[in-house]
Amino acid sequence: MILQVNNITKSYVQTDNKPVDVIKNINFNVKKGETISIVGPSGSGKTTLLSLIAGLDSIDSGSIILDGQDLSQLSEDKLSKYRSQKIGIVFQQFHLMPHLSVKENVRLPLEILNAPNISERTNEVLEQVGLSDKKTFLPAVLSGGECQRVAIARAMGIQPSILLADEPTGNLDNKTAYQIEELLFNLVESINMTLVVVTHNLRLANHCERQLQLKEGQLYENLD
Amino acid sequence: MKTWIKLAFKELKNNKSFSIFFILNLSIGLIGFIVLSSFSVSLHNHFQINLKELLTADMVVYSNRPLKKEAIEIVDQVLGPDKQESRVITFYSMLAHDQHTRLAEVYAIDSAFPLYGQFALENSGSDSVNNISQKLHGQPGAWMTKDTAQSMQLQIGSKVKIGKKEFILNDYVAKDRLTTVTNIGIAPRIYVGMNQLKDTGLLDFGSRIAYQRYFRFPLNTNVKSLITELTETAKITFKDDVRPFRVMGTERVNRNLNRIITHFTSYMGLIGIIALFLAGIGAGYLFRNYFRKKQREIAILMSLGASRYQTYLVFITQIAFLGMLASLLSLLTSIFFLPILPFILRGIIPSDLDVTIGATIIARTFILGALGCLVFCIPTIINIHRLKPLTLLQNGHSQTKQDTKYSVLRIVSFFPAILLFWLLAVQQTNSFERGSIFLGGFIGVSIILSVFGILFFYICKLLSNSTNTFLRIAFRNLYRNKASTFSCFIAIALGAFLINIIPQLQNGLQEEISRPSGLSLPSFFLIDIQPEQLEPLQSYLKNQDVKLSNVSPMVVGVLEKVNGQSITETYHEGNERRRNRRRERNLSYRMELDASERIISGVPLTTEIYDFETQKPAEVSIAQGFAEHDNLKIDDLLEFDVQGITIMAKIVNLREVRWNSFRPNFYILFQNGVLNEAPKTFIASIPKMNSSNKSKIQNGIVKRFPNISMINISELVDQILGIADKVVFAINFMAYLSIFTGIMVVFSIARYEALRRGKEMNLLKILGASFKDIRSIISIEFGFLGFMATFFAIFLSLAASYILSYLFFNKLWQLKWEISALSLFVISTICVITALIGGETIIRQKASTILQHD
Ligand SMILES: Nc1ncnc2c1ncn2[C@@H]1O[C@H](COP(=O)(O)OP(=O)(O)O)[C@@H](O)[C@H]1O
Ligand SMILES: [Mg+2]
Repeated sequence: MILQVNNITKSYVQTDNKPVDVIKNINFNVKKGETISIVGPSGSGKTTLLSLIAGLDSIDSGSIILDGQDLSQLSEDKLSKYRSQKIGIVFQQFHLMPHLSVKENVRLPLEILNAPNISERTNEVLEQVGLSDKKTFLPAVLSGGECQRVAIARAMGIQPSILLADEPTGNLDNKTAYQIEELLFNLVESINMTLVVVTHNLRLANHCERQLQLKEGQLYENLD
Repeated sequence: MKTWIKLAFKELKNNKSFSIFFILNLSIGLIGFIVLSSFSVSLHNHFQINLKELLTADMVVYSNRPLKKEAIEIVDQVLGPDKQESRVITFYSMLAHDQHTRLAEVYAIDSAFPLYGQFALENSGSDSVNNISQKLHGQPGAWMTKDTAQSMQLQIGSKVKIGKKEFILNDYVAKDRLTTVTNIGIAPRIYVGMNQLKDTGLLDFGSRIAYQRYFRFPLNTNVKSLITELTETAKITFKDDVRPFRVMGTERVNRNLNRIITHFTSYMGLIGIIALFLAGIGAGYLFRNYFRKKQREIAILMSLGASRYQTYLVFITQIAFLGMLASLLSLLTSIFFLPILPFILRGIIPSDLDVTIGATIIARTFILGALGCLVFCIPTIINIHRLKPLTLLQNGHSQTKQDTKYSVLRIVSFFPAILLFWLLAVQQTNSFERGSIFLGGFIGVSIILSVFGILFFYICKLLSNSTNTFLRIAFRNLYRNKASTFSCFIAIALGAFLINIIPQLQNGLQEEISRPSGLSLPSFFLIDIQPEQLEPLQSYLKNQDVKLSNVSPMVVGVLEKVNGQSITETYHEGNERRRNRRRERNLSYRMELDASERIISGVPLTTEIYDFETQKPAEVSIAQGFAEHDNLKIDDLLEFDVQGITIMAKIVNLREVRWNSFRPNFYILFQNGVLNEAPKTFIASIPKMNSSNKSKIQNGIVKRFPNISMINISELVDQILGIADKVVFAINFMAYLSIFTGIMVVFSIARYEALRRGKEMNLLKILGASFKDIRSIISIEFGFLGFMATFFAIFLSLAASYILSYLFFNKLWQLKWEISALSLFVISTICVITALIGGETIIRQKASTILQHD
């Protein structure tokens, strides 16, 4: 098991001071190399769940064990360190550093990690996402699809134990979304990487080996 | 580490306008600091290097009568044989030449003078010894500077009379270092030979002659310990007598001037600190917005695994680097400003002063630049602490949880700035107390201005309900963007406060110097009138239709004991250290108090004539300042030695004396009858008269009574006012610099605000607003802001100056509304103009750009 999510809950205090349970007692496991999709209507808590797995927010109860490490046991600094080694994240809005070139964006997490052979690794992933010829471009001049490729390359560079993606195709037109989807799955499958993708794009969801459904904070194994 | 620093620089390069404005803001604030510290350090060094030449010796032993044999023996014994010696006798006297007379300081020298440096004579060579023995000792020659000579229309070969003897001016002293520095022109020097002095007949009179012995020791002699040793030996040997001589070393040279200059440079320094503070506000504001813009990127970094420490590093590197650049820029710019202070203050400071930026100042500037902007950015930087990468995933969800730990942190984050500010103030004023008072005053003013700022928000809110769209938008902008409006408001108001309070106080100061309220200044102050001269002097003046006023007897006496305790040594009483020193005092008595003095506690002296037969102590009145300094109170019993006779006296009242009235006044006044028979001289004044009469009277008196010294009060007052003007001008220079800093802050903020509202303005344009409309919104906004900030600041400065005048300048206060009105107009206008210039790029932008952004 690469990821064990045990009985986690998360509530947010809304403006009127009443806590709202966004995640209610969720349990699920992910095997190494598995691809999982989580679907659900907007506001159902998909992003929240993903951010909990990424350690970007703290859980109220339960535990998340990633690659044998209980995330809630880690201090903030340890957590960022851990994240830089084990977790790759792809966002819906790409979130590239605007003033860094394509290459520099991809290098950044490797530099943070102080990884060896940064240049080789960077070239390799850029080759894989098909952007070798646009290494020096700034994000502003790239199309949406290209931005997401950079983001994927950036996330894959560190060879994370798990790749988390939040609506990776949500900001793209249909055709481009399809291309990104293909790219993502080719890469993931070629190196047998674990992928958790949150989406309401059914095609993308069905591309995964296993589908989960999030409804009002609770998770259901998709039986359709 | 490398990644972060690289990233930091990359970000700066990509945010050029932030970097540039940040640097500009800060460097303007630093300029005043550099210019001022360079000036005072250079001045200090100048004195330090030239100390010996200024004193012309390592040590001076002086006394107001010729040294007795046993005193000379002690001096010789303590100082040892390895010394050079020169003797000088100095006193003030009137010089007369034809129809010209003036007060001068007579320097009667032997041929060894000066022990350091040389007489630079205009017409003879530089062989001092030879020149002096030939031209001053061999004949009744005299030297002075060309300026002094010209003031009396003397030329080489002219005769000049001192006392009863005529001297011949036979050369000019090219550069008289001491007189150009210390005696700010009241009495210029005249050098004569010591052996020529006797015939002047002036040595027979009274106590105002200084007999000086100058000493020079071999290199590496510990002069300080010699001074202590000599003082101690004298103390032991002459236990109960008045000390036969006093000793001074080079540290006493220019002590007064140094003190004055230190004083006002510290005031200028404080204004400089305010400028720095304004610059800090500007830089802090700019950084705050820069940081906001960067928040998303920080979150990205964190989601990629960067720790908070690493993100802190990025920002601190950036700020420190910008601070360094600002320091560098300000150092380079300062070079152009360095000559300004010496120029403004010429005549007061040594003319050969060379102001340079020393290595320590360079180092201090860099530290201050880096540290200074850091402390102003800390309140922003700490936001990293609560920034969460989660924001990237949850667009739109606000993260601000109220967190008490954070609130505390936020308050604490302002402390470093205040601490730095305080340290600087203490350093500038050289005193914890004054530094803290300044900080307190500054915080007080800031708080009041902040209250006004809040009031201002209310006014804006009220006005924002206007029916006019543009007015509504303008006022809404003001009160919605609280941080920027507030920063602008404080920056403008502080600057305006400074501009207004300085002339307001200067007004009081000048009035007080030139016209002590209710009193008219006398024309002359007469010293050394011998008792037998008093009557002929009075009758001479009466013939001229002039009145001799404030005739006051002056008797020299020594205060021996206070309440039975001898005051030869300092002693402790409770926690207070008595500082009485046993020395000669000028005593007097008068039938009624002068208009310039009044009793502040106790009862008036009795008018009864003192009866020596009674055992009762005589009554005395003590000037308040003197009483404070020497720790005397009403009912204290004083024992005086007046020319060998012991007199007991009891303090019955304390007087407040306005010394700036330039009337004859005394620390100690006796009851009538006590001093009447003691040997005495008189001092007196001659009331105001027109200038042609003045020189006639002066010449007449000098001719008939050559020993009487006359101080030309109006000339003296003019000189003091001249100095005060220069000092005020120099202080104003600093004030303008801080205003300029304030304007720079306004400019940066206005520019940024315009940029930030670019979208909104473009939207207005799409909806049909013209460039002109947009400009008028900006004008209304910043014009109103500038106007109100200045208005409140004027109000505050008037109140503050009134209070200060009340406390320090005898309540002399007068509204100078012209300056207030002018500053109101000028500052508001400048605000509008800077804001328009700052927003111009946005104003000119095509409205369609709105479509190109997301
Ligand atoms: N930081 C937060 N504070 C308060 N409520 C939040 C916060 N984050 C998420 N929520 C709430 O939690 C619910 C789930 O949000 P989210 O996980 O973003 O849903 P999804 O990604 O499925 O659209 C929403 O109702 C949202 O309002
Ligand atoms: Mg979502």
